[in-house]
Amino acid sequence: MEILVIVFIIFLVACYFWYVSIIARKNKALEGLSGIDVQLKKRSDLIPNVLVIAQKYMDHEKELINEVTRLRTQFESDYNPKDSEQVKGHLKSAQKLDSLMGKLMVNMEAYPELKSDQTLIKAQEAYLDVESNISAARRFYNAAVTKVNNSVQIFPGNIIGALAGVTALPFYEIDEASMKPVLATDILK
Amino acid sequence: MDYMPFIKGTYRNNAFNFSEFEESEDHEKGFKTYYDAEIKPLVNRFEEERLAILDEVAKRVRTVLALVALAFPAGWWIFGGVEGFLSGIFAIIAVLQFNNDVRKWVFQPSRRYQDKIKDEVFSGILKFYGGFQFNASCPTSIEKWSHTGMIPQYKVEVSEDHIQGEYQDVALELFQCSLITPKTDKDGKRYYITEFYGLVISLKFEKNFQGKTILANDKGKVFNFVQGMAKNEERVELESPEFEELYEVYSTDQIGARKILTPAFMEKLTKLAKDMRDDLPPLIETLSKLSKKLPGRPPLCHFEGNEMFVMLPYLGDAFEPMGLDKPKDFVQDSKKLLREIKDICDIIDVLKSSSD
Repeated sequence: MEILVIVFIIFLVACYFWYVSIIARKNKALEGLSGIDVQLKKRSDLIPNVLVIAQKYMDHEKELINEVTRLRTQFESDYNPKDSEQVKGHLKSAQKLDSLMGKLMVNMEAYPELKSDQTLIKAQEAYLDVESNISAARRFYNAAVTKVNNSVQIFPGNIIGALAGVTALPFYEIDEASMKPVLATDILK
Repeated sequence: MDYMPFIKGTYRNNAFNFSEFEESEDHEKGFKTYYDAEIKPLVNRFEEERLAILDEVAKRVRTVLALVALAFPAGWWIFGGVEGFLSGIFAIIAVLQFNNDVRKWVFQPSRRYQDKIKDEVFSGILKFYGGFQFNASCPTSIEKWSHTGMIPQYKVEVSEDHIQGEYQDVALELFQCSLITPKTDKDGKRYYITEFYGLVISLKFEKNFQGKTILANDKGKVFNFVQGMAKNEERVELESPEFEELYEVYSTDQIGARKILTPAFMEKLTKLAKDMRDDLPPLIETLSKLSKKLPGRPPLCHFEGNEMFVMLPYLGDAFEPMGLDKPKDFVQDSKKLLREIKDICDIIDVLKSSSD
């Protein structure tokens, strides 16, 4: 009987430590997510500067500019970082915005006056700096998410995780367009 | 240097027999003109000095030989017979026994001359690389970077060959350094442990790094755990398994650390560490696996503010002039120094890419 009690106590202690590690890892992932949000917010704040200058010269890109503005507003709406579905949606809109901004930057190359605008050059530099911060923050978040997901998807972590209300978190992946191979013929035609 | 040419009297052969500088490697391009304008005018003066130094060394060699030779008649005169002969033998044994001290005295003039070459000629050669300042003695100490927490415990610092300047818009300072701890064994015999031997490099960039990031050696799970406990910084886990095998990374800023350690930079640093290990002679390589105190370990790095500080374990003795047995035209010296600087610049290119 005593042995059974001791085994049970050991089991409870082990479960507690497992629970602690899951919560600690989840908090780390949330820290990573807030790191991404800080950088995404910085980028979002920079977008109007770029758009104001772009609008002056890029008459033919009105549709693209409007789409960027719409996505930026959508991206800035609140979400619950503890709800993995909402996190997924939030990261998806960040990806879309990232992709459209990339397209806008590429299209700017076709406007020589725009390319030589000093304010735009500075805004672009700041934008690129934030982009590299986002990339670093994404790597931190994804590393933390891997740890959370491993701990809540492998037995008995899946049971403890379910009891603690921790589910697998979504990765912040790069958009599909960036993963496609670049064809030189498309660029040079 | 060898005693024989001084005993045979052939040490002056080939005097003033100079060769021309030929550009045979890519990194030597453009140096011929610089050599002809800046280095060649020094050649005659240094060659005359070399011959004078060799004469002085020859005089010292002759003095040692004369003292040994004199020991026979002096011994015979004082002790007579067999004892006299034995005292001559004893004199030869004494010279052999104290060979290091005798050599030190005999070749002392040549060391002063080598230092002069470093100060006057090497600093001239290094100016070819956009204004590097060379100082054979080191005006700074590794203690300047003690705040990084990377410097091992040691008792004696021997630093030399200090280079300072600007390389591709980055302020550069480097020197050769060895950190030694003298110890005494059970029998009272003194021995030395080399805690670090290699290059100390400081690069200062225009932009600041985010937070403080340290690349320490991976010491295995248990030691890494202990090492981590002693640090105020948090451990940074990175995606590259090869990089993780070499390093334990600690930082006050997880995002800042990843901004420095991009996949491209990690790959370059891993390659650099492997290349340095592959360059080791097989015996040292085996020893370096047994004892982590020997060279062959990856460069240790510290990023804070706008400075990157690196301790690069390095086997070679860089920035040393060639021997005095050939005419001093500085052709081989220039080639050797340009090669060493090129190798260092290649390493700096890798390190510098952390801020790109």
